[in-house]
Amino acid sequence: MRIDFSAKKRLYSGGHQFNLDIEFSSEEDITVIFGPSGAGKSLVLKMIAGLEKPDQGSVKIDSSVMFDSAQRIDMASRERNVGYLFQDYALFPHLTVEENINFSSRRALLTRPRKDEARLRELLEVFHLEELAKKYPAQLSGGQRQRVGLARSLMLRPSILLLDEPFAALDPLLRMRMREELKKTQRLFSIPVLIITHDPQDVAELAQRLILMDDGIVKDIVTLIGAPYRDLEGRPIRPKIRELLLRATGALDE
Amino acid sequence: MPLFLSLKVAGTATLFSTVFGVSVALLAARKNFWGKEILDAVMTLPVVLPPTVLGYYLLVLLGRNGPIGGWLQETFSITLIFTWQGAVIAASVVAFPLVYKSSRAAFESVSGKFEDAARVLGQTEFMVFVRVTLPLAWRGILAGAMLSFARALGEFGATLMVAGSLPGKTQTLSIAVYEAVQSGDDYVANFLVIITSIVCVVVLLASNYFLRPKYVSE
Repeated sequence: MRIDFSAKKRLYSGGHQFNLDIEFSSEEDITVIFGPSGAGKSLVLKMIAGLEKPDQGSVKIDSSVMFDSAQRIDMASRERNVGYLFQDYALFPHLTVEENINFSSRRALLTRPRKDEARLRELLEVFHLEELAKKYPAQLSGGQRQRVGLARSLMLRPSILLLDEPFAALDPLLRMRMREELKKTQRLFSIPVLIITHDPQDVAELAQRLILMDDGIVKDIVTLIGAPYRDLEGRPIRPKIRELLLRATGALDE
Repeated sequence: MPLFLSLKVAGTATLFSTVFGVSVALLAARKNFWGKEILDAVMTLPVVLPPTVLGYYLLVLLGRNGPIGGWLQETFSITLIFTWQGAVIAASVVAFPLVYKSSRAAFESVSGKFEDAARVLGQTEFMVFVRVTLPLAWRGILAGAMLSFARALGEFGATLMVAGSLPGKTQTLSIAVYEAVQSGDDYVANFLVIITSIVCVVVLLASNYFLRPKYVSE
């Protein structure tokens, strides 16, 4: 799998101008876009999913061109078949766990939903949701909600899984466990994953390809395959990554 | 008799004001266009204008010599003034802002992320509306429709101007109360007042029930 992304967009809000000018590609299983809040990371995810439109640029996943301003190609979100896990999961509050996961099976009011019962069972099992199938999102814990969100986004066998700050809403212990679960999920479904985060720990534990972003531009791109993952608090991490992370978070004054 | 006429007028008026109110509310909540706030002000005007002023506007528009009334008269030989259909129009206009305001708030409270999530999950814009926006907003819409109904039921001024007070034809509950008091018929007045109050209390209780949020998000 390979993703090629390039986009330029100019935004105005409250008299301020924000320029996004991003270009990157990745062939790794887990790609992490790391940067501070307001760097434009969410915008990149939305552009891949077709929820935002670049002024100029192109979005390609393998040979499928989802957006290309030069060729005037702009696939609708519903045709792109990307999995998207929203920051707080955006589970439909009026539907049960099962109905949430199955949501994509129905496409029109009058035609029968194309139910993939086997896929539903598989996802309920993999994410330990069998017991919760009839519950509503408000009755679930944070970790359970995230698993429902993942299951829902995987229902259609998407070509890529996009995760928006997936662990930010969880408490630290759960965060560690969910990172492990995500790695397992990635391997199990062999689906490429693109994560945006401002948490250095996500980079240390998950990134195979790291894209550092700040203020609308790419600062650096590194491939970290086979790296002995280490963290920022003095525990082992390769100096290059540490330096990059510190620079990106603006904490490098030594 | 005035009770059934009132229910008929208020029910029909609620239907009209809800269909129109929900459509305009959706437009105002989802699209940005020039003059949106002016439109909002005009749509809210019936709440603040004295009902007699509204009634006068309607008379001018719908009367035999008015632009709409004249056209209806010539093309379909329909007369609205002094008919129960006229009363429906008066009640619809007066009740409209309640359902409009409440539907607009309901649509605006539906977070865009749910709609985005549905789009990514393969849904067309129509299906996003039917499966996500409407189910999440319908309690607010229903509450607004019920308030509209209560308001239409109590309509007096504009209705009197447009439809008059013809017993059995256009004399609604609230107008009948006025007539009963004027003619010193205390027994009838008491009876009608109690009925009106009961109906309104029931409607308000129901609308409060629907306004309570159902889904606790955290």
